[in-house]
Amino acid sequence: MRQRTEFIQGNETCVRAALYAGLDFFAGYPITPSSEITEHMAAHLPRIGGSFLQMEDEISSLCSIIGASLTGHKVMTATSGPGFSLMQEALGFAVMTEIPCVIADVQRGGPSTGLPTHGSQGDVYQARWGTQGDHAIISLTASNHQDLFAMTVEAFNMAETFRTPVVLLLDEITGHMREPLTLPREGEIPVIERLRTSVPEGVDYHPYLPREDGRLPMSDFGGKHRYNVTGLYHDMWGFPTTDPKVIHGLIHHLMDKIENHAHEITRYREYYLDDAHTVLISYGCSARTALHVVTSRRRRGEKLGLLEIQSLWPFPAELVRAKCEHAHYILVVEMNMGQVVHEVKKAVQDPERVYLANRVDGEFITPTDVRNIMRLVHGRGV
Amino acid sequence: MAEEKTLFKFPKAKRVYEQLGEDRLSNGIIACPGCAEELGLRYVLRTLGQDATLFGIPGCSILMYMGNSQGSYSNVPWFMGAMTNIAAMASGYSRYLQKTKQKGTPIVIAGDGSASDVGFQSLSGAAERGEKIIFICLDNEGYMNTGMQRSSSTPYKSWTSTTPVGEFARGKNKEAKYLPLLMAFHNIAYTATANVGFLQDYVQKLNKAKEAIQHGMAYIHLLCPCDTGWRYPSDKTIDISQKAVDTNYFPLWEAEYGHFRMTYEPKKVLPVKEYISMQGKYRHLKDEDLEEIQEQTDKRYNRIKALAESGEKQAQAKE
Repeated sequence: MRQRTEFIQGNETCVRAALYAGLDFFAGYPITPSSEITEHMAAHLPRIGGSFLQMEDEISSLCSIIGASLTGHKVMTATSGPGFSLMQEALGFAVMTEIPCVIADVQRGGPSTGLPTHGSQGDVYQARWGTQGDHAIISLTASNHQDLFAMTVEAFNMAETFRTPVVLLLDEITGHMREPLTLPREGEIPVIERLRTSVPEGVDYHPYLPREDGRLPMSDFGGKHRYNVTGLYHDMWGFPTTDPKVIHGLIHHLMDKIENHAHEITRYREYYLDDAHTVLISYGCSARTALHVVTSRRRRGEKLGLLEIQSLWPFPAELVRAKCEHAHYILVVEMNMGQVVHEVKKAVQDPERVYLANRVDGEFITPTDVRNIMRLVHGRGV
Repeated sequence: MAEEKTLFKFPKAKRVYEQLGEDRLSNGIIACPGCAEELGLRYVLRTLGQDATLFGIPGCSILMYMGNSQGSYSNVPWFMGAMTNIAAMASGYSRYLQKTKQKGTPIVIAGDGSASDVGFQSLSGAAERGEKIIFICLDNEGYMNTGMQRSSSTPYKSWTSTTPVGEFARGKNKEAKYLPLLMAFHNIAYTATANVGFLQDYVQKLNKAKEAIQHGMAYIHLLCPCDTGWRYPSDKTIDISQKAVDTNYFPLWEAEYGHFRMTYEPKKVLPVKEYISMQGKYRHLKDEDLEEIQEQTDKRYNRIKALAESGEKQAQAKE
């Protein structure tokens, strides 16, 4: 049977993928350029018996999916930069209480209201450090609809596997762009379901006691087991604590459960990296431009390669170090004042090889922009 | 509480254009044809524009007066804040005016989404503190600027892009939050509902609001039919606005420190169907839906009417 191909927006792709992954609860608030996700959810979710809520703001959107997730649903919300700023407190709560949820942030120009209808990649650090305190987070991105579909499903899988919020960093350009999407067949992309506890009713269940493999089985809140949930530091029962040993253990657990599994979380694509003298590193919409530059220059025999990072956090430092080992120049292509470039500099040996090719005026970064900067880097002038 | 008994002075009603000043909004601004907000805003500036400072939020209204890189569409200072907290931002400005004894009229222009949803906390806080600002809510019953999503001011059974109509859903399944009443119950200096179909009434209320902010906060709830979002021909804006009042769907009233008064009552009340049937967003409605909306309309009107009557009785008793 031929697979179904549709010519749709990135935002709608995200919706299709979320439903594929088993989403059945969505809460959102309209904000350009992510409103289409909310609108399509409003149309699709009632058909499968799921719940769609339009909330009064982004704070409530994330908080309501946190509540729904605890009761056993697969949940998601969608927003853009300003809304994501409002969500930061609830994001920290989800990190602390280890509640799986997916937050799609369709990035636009910032700070503040910024450029609502123009693309940007300025929220990379907000996704990482927006909420206060030490924590680890998972953040995924994609440059085309096929990958976006896969990454959205992965986001749900990782949220369930690691009991953590996952930030799906889209951008206005991929979100609003239309291109063909071949819808994967059922089972083509694995979908991970929630790990529920095998502890029988009437026996003590410890919501925050990890198994040997580090995973924490969940029990639907209000169901078989009585347990507590708090944003305070808590012990394995969920009771608040000021015991230094327990606090030390919890913060290390929150960090380690993600940072120690970075190799499992890392997702990337590579193009012509084997013999590349100049390695372009990019992600999201700007990876489309970078790929165009690499493929067109390869035809002229120039040794260019591209590393497209799809998992931004935890940052795949080892991967970047390995792939850039023999590169003479490393050019990070992104649409901000330089965020991933700092991570790349930290990751590689000889960070003076690393340069930034960016554009921050609201326009999509073009191959000419990248080429001009590359000429400067190669010492050929513009 | 001697201050609360004061009734604000107001000159005898004149024809609406005799009370108006300079038109401070330029021609050819970027509103859709038939936009009620534009008319509402033009009258705000013609009535209060002398020393007004506009506080707006991302949305249609601010696009009308802030202009673009080539120049401003209005000749008053404006401030575009955040949807979440515009009342708080205006409060800061208002307090500075009072402290430095400067003249000025801080006017917040916000949509129903900001006023009744995301910015309600800040609006309610400003009302409780009695900030000396005029808050005008342009109620077009949804987030029209971002593509017609529902807000808590979206009426029952109305189609929006997030309350779709189809096999599994038939528009919004909850009644709208009636924000003006909530604001009046904050016991602020002045609350009023207004409508661009009744401009004289609107201009009078704007003038009263200006008087009222000598004492506390003023809130005006302006119904702004949106031809793009409500799906009706752009020449019907005034007709729809008037029908909203003539069917008692949107009663015109005012309240001074919680003392209610009807400011206009239709001589002949029309069935709400006449207002609803003019709008494409209600195209899917069945007769039983209309009956429900009629019921809700009557209930809302009777509630306001009862409040107004009890206010009258209290006033008579005092005399």
